[in-house]
Amino acid sequence: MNRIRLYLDTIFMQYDSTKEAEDFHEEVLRNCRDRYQECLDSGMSDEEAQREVISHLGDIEDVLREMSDESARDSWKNLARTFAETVLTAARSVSDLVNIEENTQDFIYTEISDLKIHTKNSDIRLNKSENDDLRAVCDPERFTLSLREHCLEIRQSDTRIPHHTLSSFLHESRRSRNRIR
Amino acid sequence: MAIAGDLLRGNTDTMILRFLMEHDSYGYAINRSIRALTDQTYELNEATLYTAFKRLEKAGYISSYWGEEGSGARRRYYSITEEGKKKYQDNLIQWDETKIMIERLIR
Repeated sequence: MNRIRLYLDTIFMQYDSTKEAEDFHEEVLRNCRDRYQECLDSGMSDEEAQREVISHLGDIEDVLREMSDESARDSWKNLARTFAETVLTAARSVSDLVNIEENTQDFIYTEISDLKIHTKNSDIRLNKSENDDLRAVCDPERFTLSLREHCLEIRQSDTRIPHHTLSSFLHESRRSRNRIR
Repeated sequence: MAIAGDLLRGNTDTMILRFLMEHDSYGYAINRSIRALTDQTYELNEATLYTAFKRLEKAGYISSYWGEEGSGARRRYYSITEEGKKKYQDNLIQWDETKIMIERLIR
């Protein structure tokens, strides 16, 4: 049974040890132990039993890969939501800077699962500030926010507006939010 | 006996629901039942089993809980929900209709 445990450990340690992966590991290990015992009871040698157990695993790496892809998608979704919330709150408070499309005015953040930022000169950056807030830093230009199929799109327009940046309206919004609180 | 793996695999979820209709169970026990009913010719591997459990749980057809075992790795038990029971009945009806259709089409 030790070889089986080691075999599973080697596979599982190559993937993120999320709660889900750990549960999967424990469940598989338990099933393997049951099968191993049954093989021994049926008269197989230790060696044969271990080989039999391992041959019944199937592609568990595929399951683990799928799991880690899913958790990456979830993190992105959360990031998109947090960012959308910040940007939208900001946009509402500085509406002369940002054009919010009509269908995007009253959306619910949980509807969002993706985020796209269109820029004219690809110099927009997402930065983490000291207090862990996300900041979008870019040239001072006008933006359009729109929601299409669960994706918040931030589009940089051609008109340049001097002395304002997206990060400045994020700052502005934080102030106004604090005022509301 | 020559068996069509694809056809069987396509019915994995219904098989699992069927065993859970009887009582709560865990992966290895379900596999043992499948083996017994197929004269040791068929069973699900760990990856297939787990993926099916996940899918069914996400859809709300089954729920799971950990058993209280004395020592070592715990067993994860699954039980069928009311929705799962309905799903099982639907799948049976679907299977009956599909079976007839396939018969007509291939013979």
